[in-house]
Amino acid sequence: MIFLECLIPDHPGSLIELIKPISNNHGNIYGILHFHDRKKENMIPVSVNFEIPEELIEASLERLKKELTEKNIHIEKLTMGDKTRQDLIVILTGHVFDTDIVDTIKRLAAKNIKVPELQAKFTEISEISNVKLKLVYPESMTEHDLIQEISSICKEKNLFLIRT
Amino acid sequence: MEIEFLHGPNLIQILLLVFFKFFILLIESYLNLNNGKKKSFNIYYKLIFNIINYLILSILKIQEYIKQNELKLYKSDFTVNSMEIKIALIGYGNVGASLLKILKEKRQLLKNNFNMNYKVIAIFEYDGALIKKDGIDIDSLLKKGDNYRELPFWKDGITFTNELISTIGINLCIEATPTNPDTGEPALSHIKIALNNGIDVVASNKGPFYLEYDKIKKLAKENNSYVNYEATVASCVPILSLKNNLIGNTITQIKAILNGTCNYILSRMTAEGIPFDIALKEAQELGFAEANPSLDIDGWDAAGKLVILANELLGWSKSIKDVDVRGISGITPQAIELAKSDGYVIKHLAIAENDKLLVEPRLLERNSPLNISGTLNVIELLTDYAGPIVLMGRGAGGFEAASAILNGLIDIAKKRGYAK
Ligand SMILES: NC(=O)c1ccc[n+]([C@@H]2O[C@H](COP(=O)([O-])OP(=O)(O)OC[C@H]3O[C@@H](n4cnc5c(N)ncnc54)[C@H](OP(=O)(O)O)[C@@H]3O)[C@@H](O)[C@H]2O)c1
Repeated sequence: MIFLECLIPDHPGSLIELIKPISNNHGNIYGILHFHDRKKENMIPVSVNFEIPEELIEASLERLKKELTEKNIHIEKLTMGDKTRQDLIVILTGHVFDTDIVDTIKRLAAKNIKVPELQAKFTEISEISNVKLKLVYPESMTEHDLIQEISSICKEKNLFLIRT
Repeated sequence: MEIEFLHGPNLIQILLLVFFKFFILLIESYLNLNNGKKKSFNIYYKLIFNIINYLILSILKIQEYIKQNELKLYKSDFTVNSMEIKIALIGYGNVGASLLKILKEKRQLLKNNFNMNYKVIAIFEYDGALIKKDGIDIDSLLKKGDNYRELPFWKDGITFTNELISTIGINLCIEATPTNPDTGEPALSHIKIALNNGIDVVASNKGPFYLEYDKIKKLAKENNSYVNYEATVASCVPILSLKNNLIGNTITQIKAILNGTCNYILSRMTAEGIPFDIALKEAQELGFAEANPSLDIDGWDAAGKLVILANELLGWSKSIKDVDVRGISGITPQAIELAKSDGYVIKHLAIAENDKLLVEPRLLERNSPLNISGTLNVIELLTDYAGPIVLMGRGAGGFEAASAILNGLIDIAKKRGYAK
């Protein structure tokens, strides 16, 4: 996983300017965070986590740095970690749809927990359903914290939780 | 110098030395006699002193020799009488009866391999006891089947009390009554009475141990008694005694499947795609689940065993109240299907890690060593140097539990010197 922190101007289209070179250079983006609260002189700090296939990392990063500099995007930090985001699979059983699955996902996203995959099995939408979620969470968060988050939502919505 | 001498040569050597010294002194004094009167007085004095000295030494050596031989005689006499373990069995049900059958079958083997003799002096049931001070003939007891209360030495209304056990002369008690999950009774009282009277205990009843583990251990220590409860967790799988073979390692985590009923139900749901209710009914029909299965399917049976495991292997001081428990009745065939599509199975795991005890359904990778089917039990210990260690086996069954009890019995007999 690669962490990129840079400053981009606070105007429409500037994020695309940042993302495009990453994806053009084989980057698979996991998350983007804007720090509007840290805006300085119309520049917003942005942090992007992405992965590049092992064999392409060196050449791709060189190109990426060059392209960003050409676009006047200031790189604050570019680091590599083995596992910036970890994942965990959970299955929720109960009235997962009736209790607003979008709300469940949004509440997780608010805690920087992403749901990149979702699979469901149910007979009727009003019946008990089973939903499998892949949860991706940042390195800064412990597995225990993640479980606390999802458990409290499940408790509130009376959903049966099974995790890896 | 004299002490060294005393422990050195044997009796004959000492006597020879005494006579040799005596002989030398005689020659010396004879030669000196011819050299003047004054000197000869000293020589005579020296001669007498040495003779007394060596005589005292000889007497001491003779005394020691006799004493040692007396002790040997006494020891061999003691061995013959005390090698016999005098057993009281409490609870003559599935496990109790299986144990008696094994004891009967293995009597000769126990004698040949361990020089171990035993007598079953008493068998307690909820409504009375069979008591025979010169030993119950197991063969004729087993032949009686359920009609054992017709035997002449059956005594109605007798229970395992302090007053009684002091009169029947037992030295080991086997506790195999059913568990009351809330109180641990009647087993808890039985175990306390035995230990308080210096009687060793082998138990298959887990209740007392997940409720009052520390108190029982303390009581045993105070009374110089042994207590073995290997059969309480995973029955015949020797997981608790494994600790003795891992003393160079620190066990950091336990993950286990400790309830055969739950594992059977989940295995059937996974294999056949059937709902929980049907799988439970099937387990009940096959005798793998109780008529009231709540202790198993709600996870409390596994929780009790997990407490014992964690206390014994991780050195914790937990009780069943410290376990977060979730059962398996909320698991659907669709959830199992979803798990399968990602290479997982759903298993009811008992986990001890980071000072926490958990019993709950978990997604387990299909190729995990913990992915076992049917009524089996499995325990994985994570150790600091040896890595993971996995033990698997039959976690229930009368003979399985009885075999663990027999192991405990032999172990205690060895420690007590009743067996070699
Ligand atoms: N069976 C297994 O696979 C297994 C494995 C490991 C551990 N264990 C444990 O071992 C213990 C015995 O199991 P089990 O399968 O043998 O149970 P069981 O077949 O029900 O036998 C228990 C026996 O104890 C008798 N009993 C009840 N209250 C008593 C009392 N106050 N004093 C003396 N006897 C009393 C019962 O009599 P009544 O039936 O006439 O009431 C019955 O004969 C249980 O704690 C169990 O959890 C069992």
